[in-house]
Amino acid sequence: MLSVAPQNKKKTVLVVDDSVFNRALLADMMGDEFNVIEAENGKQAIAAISNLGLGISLVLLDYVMPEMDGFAVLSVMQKRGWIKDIPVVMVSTESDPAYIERAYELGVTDFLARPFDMNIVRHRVRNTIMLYTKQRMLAGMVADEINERERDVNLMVSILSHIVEFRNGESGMHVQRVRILTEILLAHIVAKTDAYQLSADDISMISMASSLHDIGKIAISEDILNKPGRLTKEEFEIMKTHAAVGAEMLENLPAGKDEKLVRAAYEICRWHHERYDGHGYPDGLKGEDIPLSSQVVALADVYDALTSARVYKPAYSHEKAVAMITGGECGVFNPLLMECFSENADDIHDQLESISRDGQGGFGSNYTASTLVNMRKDTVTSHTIDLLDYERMKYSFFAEMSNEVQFEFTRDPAMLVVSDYGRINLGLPEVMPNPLEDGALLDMIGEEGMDEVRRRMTAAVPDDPIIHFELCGVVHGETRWFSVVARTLWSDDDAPVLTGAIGKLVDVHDQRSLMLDLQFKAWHDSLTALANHAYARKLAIERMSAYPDSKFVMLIVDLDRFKEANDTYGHEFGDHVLRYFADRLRASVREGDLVARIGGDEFLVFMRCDLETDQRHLAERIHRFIRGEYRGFPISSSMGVSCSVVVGDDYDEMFRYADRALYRVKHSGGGAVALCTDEVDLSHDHTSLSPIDELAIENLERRGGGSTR
Amino acid sequence: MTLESCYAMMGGDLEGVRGRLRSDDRVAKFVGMFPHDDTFASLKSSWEAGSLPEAFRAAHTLKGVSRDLGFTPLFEASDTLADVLRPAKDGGAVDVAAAEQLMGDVGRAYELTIEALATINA
Repeated sequence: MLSVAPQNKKKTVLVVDDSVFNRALLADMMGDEFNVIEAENGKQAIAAISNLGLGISLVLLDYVMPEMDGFAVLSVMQKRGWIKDIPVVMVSTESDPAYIERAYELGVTDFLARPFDMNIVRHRVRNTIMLYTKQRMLAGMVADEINERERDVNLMVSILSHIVEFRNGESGMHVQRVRILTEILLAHIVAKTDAYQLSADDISMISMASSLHDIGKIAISEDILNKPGRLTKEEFEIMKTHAAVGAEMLENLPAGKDEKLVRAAYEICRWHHERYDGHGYPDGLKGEDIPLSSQVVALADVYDALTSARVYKPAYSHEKAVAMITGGECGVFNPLLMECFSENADDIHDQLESISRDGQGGFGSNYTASTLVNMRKDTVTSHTIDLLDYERMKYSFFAEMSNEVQFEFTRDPAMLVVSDYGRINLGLPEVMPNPLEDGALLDMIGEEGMDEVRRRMTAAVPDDPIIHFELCGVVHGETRWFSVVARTLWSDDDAPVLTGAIGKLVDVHDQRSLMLDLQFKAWHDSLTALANHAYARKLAIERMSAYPDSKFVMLIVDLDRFKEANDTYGHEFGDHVLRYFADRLRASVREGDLVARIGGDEFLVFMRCDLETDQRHLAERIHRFIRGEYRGFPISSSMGVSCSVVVGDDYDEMFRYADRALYRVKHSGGGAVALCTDEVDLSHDHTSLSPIDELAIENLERRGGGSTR
Repeated sequence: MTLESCYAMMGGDLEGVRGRLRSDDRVAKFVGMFPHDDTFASLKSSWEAGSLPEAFRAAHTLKGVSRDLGFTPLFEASDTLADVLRPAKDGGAVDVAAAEQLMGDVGRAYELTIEALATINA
């Protein structure tokens, strides 16, 4: 008899009940034998199971609870497949048969009726856990055993058939390809019709038996087998005996000839050259007298022979082979089989191609393996469980270390689970049913954030399942930025449906603030917080190209006698003057106009001015507005103005002409406004400097040294 | 006073509890916890606030606890009350007049139980 290996580790029991008293009573009754964890309601229970998984050996579940009741917990456990692996014992004061029925339907293992009896509680918990542990062990052992056996059988069959191929001088892939083709065709036949009663095991067995279809060739001389040209009539008669010989070999097996595999191999060997119209050999069987297995292998054999090179023929293309078979050049096949073949010809071609490409030349087909995996999807082996436990541990460790909030979202049931770190740092509940309507989440990311999440999820497609975006959220009263990366999950159907997403949320607020701060500093003057020249130029150029039909005006403003302020009252006072002046200048223009500090005491204003026709008037108005005094120091400025109408939509040209106009003003004592006009500025020969230009340059040098601080 | 006289005073089933909980120490421990359990308080407050689903849950819990502890009169009263309140769980109509009366019964049974328990350490 099997016995469960003694385990030093205590089993963990999750007690889910909203009453403290009940939880305490049950915990006390179970005693020291178990490690008891508690949940006050269904949501906490789901969170605990999500976190600990198979670390929980049993759930004691109350039915009547706030938030999420016992049945809701069972539904979730069922949908997530947990109920298979974690036994649930329902704790109950109810005795209504309908209620008990429903609980069993949802997968509870047993009931514990009130009033609790210590002995019953203890034994039921112990027995249920033992039962599940044993079952899990057995399932694992059986699965391991089956896998090993199957592997051995596959290996033997593959060695046998390889011996035949070796003599045949074939590629070594023929047997394998026939086997895969047989499997694909049988699967399609089963999907298409109920005419043949074939289980997944039958398909697997027939496919394996197909490997033996040519064993009779071992009795044919190599001269005939490997003859490059056409066989003579006599030679062909000898060749044809391989079918009956192979069957005979199997029939004369000293043991095992009644095994299903051997029976199937017998049929295939003997009749894989029969044709549906009775024109095949060796027995001339007709129609359904030929076993389906033989019919399928016959077709697979023909297709592979056509598409492979042989000593007597080159390899034909897939298309040509299909045309020859459907055209009846290789004999008559079952119409249903032909239908399946034609309908799935491309699929067959792709599968065989991918197998030859991947060099699956070993034993056992990949196709079989994946079919088996699918068939046994419900059987979780002990090895798988260990792996899952390991992965879970790894996952939660990395989640903890990485300061990331990891989350898991499922659509059915609609539920969001966030990692522990998320619960603590975001103040979110660990489990949120209907997350898109969850109050706490809404408080955190707002309607806008919810919309963004919804939009991103809907925009994702199975081929491009990763979504990445930034999200603003309020956490503990503070607005912070988060980066969200998630992978959407899709169903396996032909038309995949979004089933959920897994992802992480990283707080990028500090990083982002730093970036923004650096960016601001790079583009702005630190004293006045106005844009600097490089930034002003960039913005002005952007504006001009955004509004190609608009007119623009540029003002270069120089604060008169600023050097005096610095020299007389000190640099600190000078700074105050500059800040004051910057404020006045900003106040003198509209909100959208651009104001920048481009040098020590030089400022720039750039405006779109479609309405104002008289630029001089506009400039003078600003000039008047910014005149005044700051703590006894007279504020007055000189202004050079250029208009895009005159010099064109070119920032640097506008700057050059405004600058030139400014120097005219400065030259004549400052405190005034000068416009660049065609007559005065544009008439210059650009290659040689006028006396005014020379003066301007001299001025520039002088100012450059004197007025910057 | 002893557990015996306490249970006798309230009409409870001490032998049943002893059989299930296996030791007098354990019985005393959980009996001692009962006056601190807030289930009755939340039954009262949710009933007064007209929150019937919550009242049902509390009555249901009270019934379970009193049955475990063998507080027979309290169990019987809260059992009947839970049955009357049960429709509220799924949003159904409740016979409020009957519930009102049963609330009185449960209240009295609770008082009796608490009084009896108070004698244990006296």
